[in-house]
Amino acid sequence: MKKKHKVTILPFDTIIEVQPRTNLLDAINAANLPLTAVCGGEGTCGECVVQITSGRYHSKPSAALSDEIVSEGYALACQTFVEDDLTVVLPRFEELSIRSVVDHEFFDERRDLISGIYEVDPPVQKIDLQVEAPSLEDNYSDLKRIERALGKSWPSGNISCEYSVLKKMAYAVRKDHGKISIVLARLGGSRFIIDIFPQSEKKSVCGLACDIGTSTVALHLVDLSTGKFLGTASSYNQQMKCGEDIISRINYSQKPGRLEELHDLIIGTINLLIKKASESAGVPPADIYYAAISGNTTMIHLFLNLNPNYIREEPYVPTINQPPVVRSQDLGLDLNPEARVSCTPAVGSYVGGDITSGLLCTPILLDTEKVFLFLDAGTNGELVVGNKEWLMTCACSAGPAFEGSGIKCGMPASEGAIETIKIDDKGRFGYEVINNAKPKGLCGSGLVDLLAELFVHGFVDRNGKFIERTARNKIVQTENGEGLLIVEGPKSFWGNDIVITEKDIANLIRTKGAIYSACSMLLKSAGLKFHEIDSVYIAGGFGQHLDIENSVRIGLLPDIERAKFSYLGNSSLLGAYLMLLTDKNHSIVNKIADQTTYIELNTEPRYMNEFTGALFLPHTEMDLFPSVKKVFDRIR
Amino acid sequence: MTFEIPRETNTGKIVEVTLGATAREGGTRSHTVTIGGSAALPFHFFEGNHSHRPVVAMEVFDKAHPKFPDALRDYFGEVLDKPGDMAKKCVSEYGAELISVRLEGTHPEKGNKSAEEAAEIVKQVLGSVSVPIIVTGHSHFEKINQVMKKVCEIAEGENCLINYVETDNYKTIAAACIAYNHTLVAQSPIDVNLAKQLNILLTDMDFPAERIVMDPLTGSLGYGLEYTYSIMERIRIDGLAGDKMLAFPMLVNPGYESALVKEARAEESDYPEWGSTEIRGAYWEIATAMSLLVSGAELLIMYHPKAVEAIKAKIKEMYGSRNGD
Repeated sequence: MKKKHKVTILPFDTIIEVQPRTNLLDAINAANLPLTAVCGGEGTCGECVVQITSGRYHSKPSAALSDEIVSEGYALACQTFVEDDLTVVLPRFEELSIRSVVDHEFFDERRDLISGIYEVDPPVQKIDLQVEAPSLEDNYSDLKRIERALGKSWPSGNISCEYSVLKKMAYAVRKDHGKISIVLARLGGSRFIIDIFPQSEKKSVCGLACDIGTSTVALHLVDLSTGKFLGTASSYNQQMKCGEDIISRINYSQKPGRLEELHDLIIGTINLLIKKASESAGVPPADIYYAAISGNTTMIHLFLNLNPNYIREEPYVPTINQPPVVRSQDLGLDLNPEARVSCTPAVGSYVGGDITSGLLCTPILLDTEKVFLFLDAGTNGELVVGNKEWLMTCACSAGPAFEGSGIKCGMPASEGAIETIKIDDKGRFGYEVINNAKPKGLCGSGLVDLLAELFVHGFVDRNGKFIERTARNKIVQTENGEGLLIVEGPKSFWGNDIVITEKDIANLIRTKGAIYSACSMLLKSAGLKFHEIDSVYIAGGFGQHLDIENSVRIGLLPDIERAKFSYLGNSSLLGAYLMLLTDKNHSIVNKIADQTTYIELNTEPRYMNEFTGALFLPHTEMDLFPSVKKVFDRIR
Repeated sequence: MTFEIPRETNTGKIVEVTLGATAREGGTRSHTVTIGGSAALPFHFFEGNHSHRPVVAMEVFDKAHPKFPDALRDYFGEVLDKPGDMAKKCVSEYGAELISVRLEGTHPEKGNKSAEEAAEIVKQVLGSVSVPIIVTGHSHFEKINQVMKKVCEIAEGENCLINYVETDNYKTIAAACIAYNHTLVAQSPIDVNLAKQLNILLTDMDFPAERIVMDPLTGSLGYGLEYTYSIMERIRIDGLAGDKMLAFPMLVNPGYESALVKEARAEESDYPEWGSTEIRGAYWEIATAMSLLVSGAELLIMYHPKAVEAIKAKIKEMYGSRNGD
């Protein structure tokens, strides 16, 4: 029998053994990893591109890849045969890892929005104390004397002490003659001493803000004494190999052992990021004493190792909406073992902690009168409308188009993504690429621009179909039907054309239609009109340059004063960060979750009518978009 | 105190669409038929004018459907397979006001007749009757585009009602209608928005509004008729309220829809409690057609001669001596 070859697939670190001359796409699929080729393995679509970093292989030449790319080890998995032990990288997931979800400047800008609740009084912090030395007259126990010292600067009250702290106490209070540091956790009304050390050890006390997205995970390492960022890291969620969306993840978890597996994968993902961030910041993970975790309800269930099945089944009830504070050692996180872990509270199964956390990034609770609309345009769109006194929310299934999935040349907002596009009067395309790299595809903001520009320049009709008269010279044939050429092969990273097909456009229209019609339904439920909204906050994975004007032109956003819109970026992560800063934010976010009313769109017969009305550019009712009508009338 | 009927007043009016063309207008029809023009909901004579009565067309076939009920054979016998002769019979014996030529046999899976053969059949029917003609196609885009292009060309000037285009396939046929002066049916699947979208797309390509008829794609009694009823009613209410993109007359197919349902076709021997197949088939079509009429249909394509007779009589009775053709 011939010797088998070992194929290591990155970034999943999955190893699979295959017979010599096995087709690489078959091998990757046998390992249950999500890699597909719409052309059915014909070597024409270029979707199954991989990079082979070590080992010998035989690959048939394909027009879908340029020679330059091939010389860098890129190959189409469907056209490649294993002849050796190989290391193979799946670029799509690698892209998610380097996705630019974390941009400090952008983050700082957003702080202005929320300056009212931006204050540093972390619920977990280091306190330096001078403990009086014991004597025959003052023979109180070490712990009593610590409590006494603490009582001078901190109002008294019940303080508990972790057992692991007691074990170090006698040493710590004597080492520097009573000069000690304690780490005090004040969460949900109780106070715990979770660490103690002599002041000469000068340990820093750090916090971790983490957003667990269904496809990506991002975190910030924060100095809890100042609130400053120390390090940051992001990657794809390793659970991706068990299904790309929430429902398939829940389905996956239902066989024995699989819930554990998903739990371990997310803990593993976070631990890897902790390692990265703490190494780059020069902070040992043991100095991290507090973590604030944000994510949708399913992600939080998997993170806490709770069965998510009932989220999926009618009547859609989760195990918990407001999880209690847990200790990192109970979850297996590589932080200080006594570190406290808080999760942002959910409203319900389909409006999770990522949304309440996002709401924390808006000034909603500071202002009584003004009505706002918060909109997270992810795979599952979530919307909230209200003000300080009332909040209403709903969720809609928008699809992942704006995150780059399900679009032939779509991609996440990472290096090589076209993030803005303009068409000039002569019909020429101009674009900007993230990190000024060679373009690989289009991210959400690029897709919004593209659709708007195609529409106002008369390349597509109101149904999103190409208008032959104008588009003729740019039409190319793809395996998905006709496509409109945006970047010619030689100018692109992959060496093949970047195009948009009518199918892609239909997908984008469905996504924007789902979001707009959900907004419209939610407002109707609240008895409001769009113009009565004072501010609109947009969160989501578009990339950071979402053009509001273009979003209105395609009918994704309502046609109201542009100054009312602001873009929040990854507000789930920003909200988690705010939770680190003060426990007050924890109570605020709980209050938000408590007072939010959930509206179920699926049982609302009018939703379908709203939805089909929105499946047009910008909308079947052009009168809802007066500014777009003006542009449209001028151009036609 | 006398009772006064509350009245709705409408700002809009349904577009008037004329079908067929006489020699003076470049065709060979003996007369034209105009539909639409209503300023109120169907039969609400107390609320507004209805300038034209609803009309009843009958249908002939390039290939009779194998599942058509026996009743049709009983009435038409051999001519069921001779579209020209059948058209003549429909007009002279059963009072059809228009004739629809259904070209299902051009579908690649249902006979794949060529565009030329189809055009020949249309020509034959144009020659055998003098009423305006409807040409009814199918949903195989590529083939029907060829067929309708050819039909439009050979029937140039006749102002046929080309039935139908849909959102995913409208450009070729609409362009042919513009070029050869025909009227067009815009069909959309039982949805107000989708109906409006197609009409916008057509007018955006400069298709003349007075040559659009809508088909909201209705079902037969027992197959979602209530739903189609309320969609048609909403379309009509919006149209009358001033939404120009929904203010087109509507075409419906109670004949075809009813002929194929089990309840109208099932043998009496299998379901004795359902009564005679012949009468049942006619009743089924009448119930369907009457509901559609009340919800706003202006042009009904029907099959069963008894049903045609009953519906025509009903329209006449309702209109009485009122205007409307």
